[in-house]
Amino acid sequence: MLNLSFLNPWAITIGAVALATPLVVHFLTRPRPRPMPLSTIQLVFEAIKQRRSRHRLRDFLVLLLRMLAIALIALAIARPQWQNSVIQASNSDVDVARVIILDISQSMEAGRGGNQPMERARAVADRYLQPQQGLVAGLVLVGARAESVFDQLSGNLAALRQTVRTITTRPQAADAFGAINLAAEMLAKTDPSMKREVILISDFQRADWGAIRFDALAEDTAVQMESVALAGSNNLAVLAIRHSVRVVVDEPFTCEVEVGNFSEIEQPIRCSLRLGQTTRTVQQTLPPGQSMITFPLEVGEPGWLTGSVQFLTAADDLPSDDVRPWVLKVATKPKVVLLSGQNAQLRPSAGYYLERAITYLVADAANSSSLVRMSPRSIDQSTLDAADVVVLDHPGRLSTGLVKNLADALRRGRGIFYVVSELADGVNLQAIQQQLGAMMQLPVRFVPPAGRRARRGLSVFEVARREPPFAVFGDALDSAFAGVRIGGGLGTEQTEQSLKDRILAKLSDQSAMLVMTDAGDGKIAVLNADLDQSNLAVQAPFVPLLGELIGNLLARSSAETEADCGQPLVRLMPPSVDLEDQLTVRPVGDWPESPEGYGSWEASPTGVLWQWPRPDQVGAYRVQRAGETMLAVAVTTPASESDLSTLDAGVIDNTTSSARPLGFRDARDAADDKDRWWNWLLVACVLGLVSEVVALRLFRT
Amino acid sequence: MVGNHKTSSGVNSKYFDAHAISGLESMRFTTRRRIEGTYSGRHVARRQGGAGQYIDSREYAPGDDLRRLDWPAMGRTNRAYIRLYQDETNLSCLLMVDTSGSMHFGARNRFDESGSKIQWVKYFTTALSHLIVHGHDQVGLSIANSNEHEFVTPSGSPRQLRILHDRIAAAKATGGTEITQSLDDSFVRMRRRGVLMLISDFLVDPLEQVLSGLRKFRGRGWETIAVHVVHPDEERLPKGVAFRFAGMEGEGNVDCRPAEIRKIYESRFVDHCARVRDGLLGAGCDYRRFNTGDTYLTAVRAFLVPRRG
Repeated sequence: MLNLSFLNPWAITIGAVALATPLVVHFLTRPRPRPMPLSTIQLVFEAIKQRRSRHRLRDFLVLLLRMLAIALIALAIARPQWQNSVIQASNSDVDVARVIILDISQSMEAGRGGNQPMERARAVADRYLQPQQGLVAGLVLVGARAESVFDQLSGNLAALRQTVRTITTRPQAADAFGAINLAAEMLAKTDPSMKREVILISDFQRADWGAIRFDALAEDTAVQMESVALAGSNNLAVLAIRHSVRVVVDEPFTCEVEVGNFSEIEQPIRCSLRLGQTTRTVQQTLPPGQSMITFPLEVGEPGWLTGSVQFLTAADDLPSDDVRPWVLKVATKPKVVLLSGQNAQLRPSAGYYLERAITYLVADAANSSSLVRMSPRSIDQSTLDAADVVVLDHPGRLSTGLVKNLADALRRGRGIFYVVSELADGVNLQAIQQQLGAMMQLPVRFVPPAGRRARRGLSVFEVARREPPFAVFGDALDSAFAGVRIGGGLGTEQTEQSLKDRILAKLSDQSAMLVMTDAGDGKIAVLNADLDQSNLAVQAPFVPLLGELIGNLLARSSAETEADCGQPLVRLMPPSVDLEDQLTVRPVGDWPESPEGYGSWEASPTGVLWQWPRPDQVGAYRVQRAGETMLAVAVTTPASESDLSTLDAGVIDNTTSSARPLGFRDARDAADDKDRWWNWLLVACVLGLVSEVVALRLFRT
Repeated sequence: MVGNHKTSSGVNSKYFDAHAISGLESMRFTTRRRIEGTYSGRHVARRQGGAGQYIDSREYAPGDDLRRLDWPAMGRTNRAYIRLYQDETNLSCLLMVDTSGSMHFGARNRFDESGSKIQWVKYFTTALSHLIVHGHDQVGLSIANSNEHEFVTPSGSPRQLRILHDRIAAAKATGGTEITQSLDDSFVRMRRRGVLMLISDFLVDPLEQVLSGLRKFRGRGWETIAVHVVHPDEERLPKGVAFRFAGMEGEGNVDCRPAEIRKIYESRFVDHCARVRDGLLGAGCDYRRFNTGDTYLTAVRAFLVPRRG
């Protein structure tokens, strides 16, 4: 809703009076005619008749243009402002309940020379918090979570203004929906007779506010959006740091750094990666958009490493996203536990094939015990805790304790590779699933084969060739698996909530051959084949397939090592950590201390949980026990916060189609157009005067 | 120019300057057509015979006056010829003066006609009447306006001259233009052919009625002369920002800025003069246009030179 207001309304009154000036001047300066008898007055009559209409038009035009010029001058002095505002001037008859939602996300500090959106936002918020008859207001600060200064609307506007003056931005995204909901809750507690207003002061960054809805607010609530966004942002940012799913000591790996150039032109940068004592620097030119910088790395010591990726010579609008913390868990060769009920001396057997293949895959010169083959009956807790991957083949019916331990291993992020060959395996998987509940959703249920017929000679039928573990075969996939014949195993039925894409391969009888899904923080893969009755173990793709499967089971998402600033952080400590241990959390290097502490420790059935409700500072943090790093986490700002592109009024209008009073005002318009308007009015005035001269020239006598 | 002068004929008029006119007395006012006169004079009469000037001979025809037989020619040629003579008679001129309100234009004020067209005309007609009478011709006067219509029958006596001068001097430019009525009235009164001299500014609407009246005189064989009197200030509008022009014959007032209509006015005045000239020439009149910016003596001289006998 566009409202016209004047910076100097008194000029309108003066202008209205001045409008009469040309009329008065016109009549006062009319020449007094001198009486004179004229014999040829008939000729004068005829001449006047011919000229009168033309001169009347001229007089009218000249008078009109002069009045227009005065009106334009008066308007220019009055300085009109078109304001898209639904908040009207104060009306003493109606009490107003006003909630001001102030965006304090990281993008609000973008800018240079004190011209940050936050500074503008303070000024705008201060204006809405000026004392006013019957006004109660609330202030909602929007970071990763929306929080109000007071629990309810207050008439203590001075305190709110003081809060606005001292508030600073946070390296967080903005929870737009949470802010709207909180504002709705606060307004719902007010007297229904009050006029309700919500003021949104933000840069309306597209990532945070793109899907904004006001459905939570009452229909009669007026919403005024005040945009304080920068014009033409120029931002460089380190968006993400990615590396191999499992970094193993002494194995080279590649670190991929995703960087963004959110400007219109190419930008030269120097990017430095620091990991422990290692530093790598590259210099290149970033094209507009997102691009990738790769660093080849190799680490010689296992354990937690911290570091960062930083732009060294970038001059942009938002310096805080030019550096990104990074933590890395360097692991030793994976330890695999093979639980097989078969006789270890039986050869050939499924257990033998698996043992040989896994030994080949995880062989470690320094650690000869990378593979442990044990009977399910003899496995102990400590062995299971030390395993990275547990492989089960012909385990028979598992004990309840072992099922529970396997479920805990999955919760902790371990991997399980289950070779299903007999009915007991289906029962075991169901028991594990019951232990994990919703944390594990196998896409199929393993059931006895249809008609109790033996499964033999089944060929590999449908394969997810673009996904691991099959993606590694590339175009040779078909030829590699052409000779594979599967026997044994169980029939499968799709579960109701199944994710079909988790079925990675099917057999010719339409039963699932290979499924893999997340379970807790770990993964579980199930091969539906009895290796004793199949030729898979003696076919060429067996070892590569097994290697890829174990690699994927070991993979952990970067979500484990990263946490969004402002969002609750919950991590399960290693099994060796006990609640009685002296655990300390410290930022690494120059990263700032958190004034509100680092959360608490809590025991859970699966181990010790670290709960940090609100990590409010970006940085790398170590959890140490007696000087040993047990866990490290990088608290970062969401990458989307670096894209400073903002919404405009048109987008807001299109997304909010309700009939509620809705206004959108851009501070850039208010700052620029205000001055531009009176300039244009003066130009129009000059044009009017020029037009007068032209009219006089056209009608000259 | 202005002064009371008493001539030998006893004329006493402030519009008569005997010294100025004395230089023109040698010039005679002649007509371009044969006229009818009362007395024998120097003007060519319409009839032939009598004791006038010999102009030609022709063979005798039965019924011819034997007194005109050219006996010497008959003796030389043995054939009878009749001598033809042209009679000469005096001129009867009727001066018709337009004294409508528009003739007062140029005057200093309502009561002082100095500089006006009527003043110029008074000088002009006084001088012309004197010269006509001085040439032993007859002159009459018709004063035409809507308020009065005065007619003095042409005569050549000194007393007539005094009467004319008095009437001319007493004439007031007032009222509307009534030339047509004066023409009709004079046409009825004048039995014999002569010269009609109409002196006017011809600011009359419609002009066609005046032309119609003049055509009637021409149809009877009169020689009609139209003297178009124009004031210099009529040719172009006065300089100044705004004027309230007042009609001099009751047309009303109009406020205007001369600058706005100057060109149109001048164009229309030229058109008006051309229309008057073409109309009068078309009606068989001898057209003369005089500007009151020139002296009346210059005008009289310019008028007489082509007509001097």
